[in-house]
Amino acid sequence: MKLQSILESLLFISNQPLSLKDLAKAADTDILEIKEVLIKLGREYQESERGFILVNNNDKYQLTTAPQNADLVSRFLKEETSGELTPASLEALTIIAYRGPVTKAELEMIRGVNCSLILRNLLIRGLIEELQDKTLGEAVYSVTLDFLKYLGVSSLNELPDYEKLHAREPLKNSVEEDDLNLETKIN
Amino acid sequence: MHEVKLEQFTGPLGLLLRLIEKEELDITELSLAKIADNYVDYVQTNKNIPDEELADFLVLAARLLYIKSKALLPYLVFDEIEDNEDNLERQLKMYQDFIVASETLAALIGRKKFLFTPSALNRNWRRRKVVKPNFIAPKNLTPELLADRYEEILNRLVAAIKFLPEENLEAKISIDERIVSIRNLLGRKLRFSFSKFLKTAKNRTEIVVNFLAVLELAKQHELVFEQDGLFAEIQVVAIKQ
Repeated sequence: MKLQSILESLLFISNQPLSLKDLAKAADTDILEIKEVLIKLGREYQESERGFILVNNNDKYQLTTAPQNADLVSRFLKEETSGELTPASLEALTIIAYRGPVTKAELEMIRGVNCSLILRNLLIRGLIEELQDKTLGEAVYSVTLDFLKYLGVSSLNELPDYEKLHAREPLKNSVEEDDLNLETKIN
Repeated sequence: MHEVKLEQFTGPLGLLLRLIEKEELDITELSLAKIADNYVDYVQTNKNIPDEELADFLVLAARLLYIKSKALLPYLVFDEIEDNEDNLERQLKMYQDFIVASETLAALIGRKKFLFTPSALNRNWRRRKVVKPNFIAPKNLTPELLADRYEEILNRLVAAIKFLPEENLEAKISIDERIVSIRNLLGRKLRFSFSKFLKTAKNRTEIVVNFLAVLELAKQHELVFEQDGLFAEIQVVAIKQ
């Protein structure tokens, strides 16, 4: 119970997403324990229909206003948030949201077209972020917490059909298959 | 040929999917073969395809034509690229799933149920003054750290480069260049031995270039070949203009 109150205070005072690592360091507690409490906390907020919810993405957490109050809050802030995205950006974002973290090559294989420009635009708008995957040795892309705020969902799991589309078998590159065949022949 | 008018599409697969939906076909190998011509026509006549995407549109056109040729000539077996149309079929189905999902996301965004954070308040509420960020040097930033990071980046590059197959760039000689040198040679000597000429080549590529250059000049009636008997030495002789 004490840990829950500590985490709540930390999340409340921070104006940017906090990673599990940040929270573990600040609260001097094990990461797994913190994650467990945060999941419970997030569920509690939603079930009790509070004015804020706990959003999480890529193990980063942030308190935000509840989606049902969006109209009122944006009027209060006089903030004009437009919902406009081009069809191509939306398409790339969808793939990154469902399949992320995803490499540029995989994204391009699914869309069938070069995506350099779109990736750059999405990065500039802060809708996606780039991370260096050490095992793959190349960059992977995932959506940001800001994108979740834009969608009004508290985590990617809330997206319709998320499990189905996330788990779909990867498209195999025919070159890789050939390589495998060669290897089995040699063995 | 009927005029195809399609709403905005978002890349080669998007175009293909629209064409298939327009003809009310399912995504199968057979429909891909059927739709190949429509796709090629569309790519040929449409001026709205951005230049930087044109290559991707053409790659798909090639894949479609390959599928079509297989449908037309089923008795020809191609084992090498056996998987090809199966891949396209699967790829297109997967793409279709994501298109459906992106429509759902658009609807989610359309609800405008945006989530707001305290930072939004600090930034925009009532005071629209732009606060200039002060420069605060990160505590742990030292010249050594920069040097370390830089080395790390270099190492990463080296690791990436290591996987590239090594190939030395050779100075290549073009057929045009060789034609000029043969003309000069014939201008001086009027005739030379073909086998000796080939031996001047430093590598296989040059042999091919020499051979093609001589053939080209023969075609242009600048030289002829003379040979006294079977397997005798071939002489290259200049034609007097």
